[in-house]
Amino acid sequence: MLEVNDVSKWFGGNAVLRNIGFTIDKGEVVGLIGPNGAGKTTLFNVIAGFYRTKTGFVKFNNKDTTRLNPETICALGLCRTFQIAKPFGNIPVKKNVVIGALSREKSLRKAENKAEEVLDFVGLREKEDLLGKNLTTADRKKLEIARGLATSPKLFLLDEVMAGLNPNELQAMMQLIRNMVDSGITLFVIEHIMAVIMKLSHRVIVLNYGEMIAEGEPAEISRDPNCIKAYLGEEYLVAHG
Amino acid sequence: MKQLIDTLQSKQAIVLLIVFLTLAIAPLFIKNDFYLDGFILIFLWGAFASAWNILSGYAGMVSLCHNAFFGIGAYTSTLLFLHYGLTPWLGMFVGGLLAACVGLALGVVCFRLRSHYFALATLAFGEVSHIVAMTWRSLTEGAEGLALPIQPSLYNVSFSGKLPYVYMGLFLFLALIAVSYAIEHSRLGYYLTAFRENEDAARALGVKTGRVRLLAMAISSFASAIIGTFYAQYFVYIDPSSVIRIQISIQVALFAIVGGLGTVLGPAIGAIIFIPITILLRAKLGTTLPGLHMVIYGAILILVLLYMPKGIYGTLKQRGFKIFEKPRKNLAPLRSEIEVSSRQ
Amino acid sequence: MDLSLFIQLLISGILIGGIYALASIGLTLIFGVMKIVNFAHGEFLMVAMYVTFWLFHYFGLDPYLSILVVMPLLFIIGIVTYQVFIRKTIGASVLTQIFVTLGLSMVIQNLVLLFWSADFRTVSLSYASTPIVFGPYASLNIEEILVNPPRLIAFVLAISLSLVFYLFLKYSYTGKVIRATSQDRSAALLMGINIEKFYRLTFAIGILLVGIAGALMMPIYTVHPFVGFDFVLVLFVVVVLGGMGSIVGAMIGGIFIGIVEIFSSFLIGPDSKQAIYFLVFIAVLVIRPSGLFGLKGEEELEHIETID
Ligand SMILES: Nc1ncnc2c1ncn2[C@@H]1O[C@H](COP(=O)(O)OP(=O)(O)O)[C@@H](O)[C@H]1O
Ligand SMILES: [Mg+2]
Repeated sequence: MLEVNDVSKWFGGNAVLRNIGFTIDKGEVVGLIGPNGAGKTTLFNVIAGFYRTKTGFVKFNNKDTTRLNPETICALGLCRTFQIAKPFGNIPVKKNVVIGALSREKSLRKAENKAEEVLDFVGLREKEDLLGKNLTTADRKKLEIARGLATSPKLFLLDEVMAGLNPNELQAMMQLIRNMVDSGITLFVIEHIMAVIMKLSHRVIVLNYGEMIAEGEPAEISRDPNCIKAYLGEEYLVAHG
Repeated sequence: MKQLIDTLQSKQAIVLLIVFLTLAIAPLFIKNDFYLDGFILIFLWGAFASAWNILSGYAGMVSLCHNAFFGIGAYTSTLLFLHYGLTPWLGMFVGGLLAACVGLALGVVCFRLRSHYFALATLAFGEVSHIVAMTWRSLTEGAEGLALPIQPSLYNVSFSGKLPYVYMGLFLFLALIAVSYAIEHSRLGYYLTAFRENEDAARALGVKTGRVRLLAMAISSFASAIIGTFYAQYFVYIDPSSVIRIQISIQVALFAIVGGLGTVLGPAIGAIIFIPITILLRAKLGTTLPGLHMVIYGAILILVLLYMPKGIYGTLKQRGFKIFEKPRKNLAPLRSEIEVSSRQ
Repeated sequence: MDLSLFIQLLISGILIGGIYALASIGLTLIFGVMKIVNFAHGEFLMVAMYVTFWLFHYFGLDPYLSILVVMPLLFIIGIVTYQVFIRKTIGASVLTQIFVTLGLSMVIQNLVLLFWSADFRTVSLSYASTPIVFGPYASLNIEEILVNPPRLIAFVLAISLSLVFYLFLKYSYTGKVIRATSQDRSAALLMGINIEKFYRLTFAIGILLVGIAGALMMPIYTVHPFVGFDFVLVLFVVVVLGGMGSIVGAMIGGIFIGIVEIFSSFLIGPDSKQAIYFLVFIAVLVIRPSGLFGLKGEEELEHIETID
């Protein structure tokens, strides 16, 4: 479904991504992990059309999307959320979601129905009249997801939607993600919390300093010394020998 | 449509209807030209402020060059009439299209500019258009201005009484309100708002932000030019300082901001409030205290922006005064929303 | 154009440019630190010109000495303006920021009009009314070059003060903090800098600098209530040209625009000279919004822009 081939991204003199390549199949849940500043968000930006890769290409459903804009890529069925939620602050939650739904629906009326469905799905229905800027962190993340879902994505990129949530909210979010998987959406998930990513994903990709240092099933990754070193630092290895 | 009928049954809609009927019928009974003039000015500036609001209120792109679009409309129809005898009924559309093309060209040229940078570019463009109108004497007669002959006829869009102008103005005023309503309740309005609130998020959701903001630019500049023609026809005299001054852009912005940015009725309400104040202050103090009305304008502008940023209509709307929207199902979220926003 | 004329125009341009440089440093500083474009900047210039004028008119105070009054006065005006108006616009929408400062400019302009009328007022200095003559330099084939003393004095003072201020920014603690805030607001916050205090200080210093420029300009230009708006447009051009937020850029930009102004008013007439630099302005905004001299880094985020 998604093919990333030899993607590199430079900011000034710094290579933030180097020759990244992998594929994601339909129905999969793939995790993307790595320490802060590893280039995970940048990779999402390249895939979703916000940044251009310097080399290589990105293909979505066998269509070359390397040079397409975010809006066109969204229309193809690839949507992303933002790590720092970007709600439309001065309009109600529902209208936020309707804007997403309009990308598929012909009429405003249908888009509203779709938005209501999605709001029910993520559990924001009671808050549909609040302004975007007045939501809590957890609700902002839900809104990010709701708006994205409203565009009916086939592949959905989730950027740290669980960061900063309390245990209850975390449980709810995990359930929400499982529900999305059940409804047939392919997910590509950036996550910091190891336990979560290991539980949710079929496959994990590990980035470190812009390089892909490992790829495999969660169990393999959690045994890979390279990953442990990158992720938890040298001391962890030493301490746990 | 059904939604429109639904919402028109609310109490506030009746209030609104009464206001509009008064505006429509009252001029018939007013014999005093001074008051009729007031109505015409309210309609003219209310319509113009609504046109500005489409670009700057809904899409949030601060334009300081609507004076240029207004002037293009006024000069185009007037020049076409003076040189080729073309009826202003057509001249106004030529002006509108020309302004829309200029607006689109500016939009394309300034495509990458955001926020302050866009505003500064429009400011420069507004100034350049003023300089062009002043210095291109062979076309515009420069500071001397252009006078339209007073030969009342339908073809010339020139009338002996004020009443026809009142209704032309009312038509423009209502038309711009209708256009604003249509935009707010359509895909375009949603997209413009999304662009204003967060461009990246909008694009991630498939909003073609480039296309919609050029569309807003075109609609807004087209409408401004049409209103410019109306100005020329009513005042029968135009010069750069009356139709292409940068202060014109600031004035329409003021009406829209005080009335309520990015709302259907805000700009109109702004004009309804401000024009009478202006007329009164000018009549009473114009000669003894020049500039006082501008001091008051400036002060109101600052106060509204700092303490009532949603403007008069926007604030009423927030308090539950709804005309064009379905009433809220319950008020609980509303209350908490106010609490939260006042805490911030 | 012969060489003498060229040099004469060049020198006039550079002299004017020096004042533009000083006046626009405040504007660019305020933008760099607070991300606010101060549309009322020209009004503070105008107020400083009036203060200089009245001091001269009533007390016969020399305009160059009146700088000593103008500086603290404008600094205080800056602090008050910040506290009452600007503070509340930090973090507000761009539209709010623009129209609050525009509203401020309307109020100041028209208050001045109310109190001091629309009369044009000038200060002429008896000791500085005869032009200084340089040359002729027969060996270089250059005829006499004339320089008006007020312009020369203004230029020298403006450039020295700009340099002093630049050194202050570069080496004093306060200056370093201001620069740090300008470069990275969130980092400055993290470092525990009291942002609010430095915003206030920056704004007041910006107003003080434009105030000095106003005093220096009084012996050269005529003052009236709307003079600020004419100048602020030039200052915007200077600041954008130099890269919004860049002090050195503003200095180079000021001199550049001074030269452009003199040459274009000589070559195509004073009426359309403004059109020229506005077109330069739009061109720079469009082609290189980060400024012509590349002294400011690239825009923070790169965006992929297409119409479709
Ligand atoms: N727009 C940008 N300009 C310059 N550097 C950037 C930009 N975005 C990200 N970076 C740098 O790229 C690196 C990777 O960032 P990011 O992709 O956000 O990491 P992650 O999401 O893995 O934490 C970081 O060092 C960051 O500073
Ligand atoms: Mg990240």
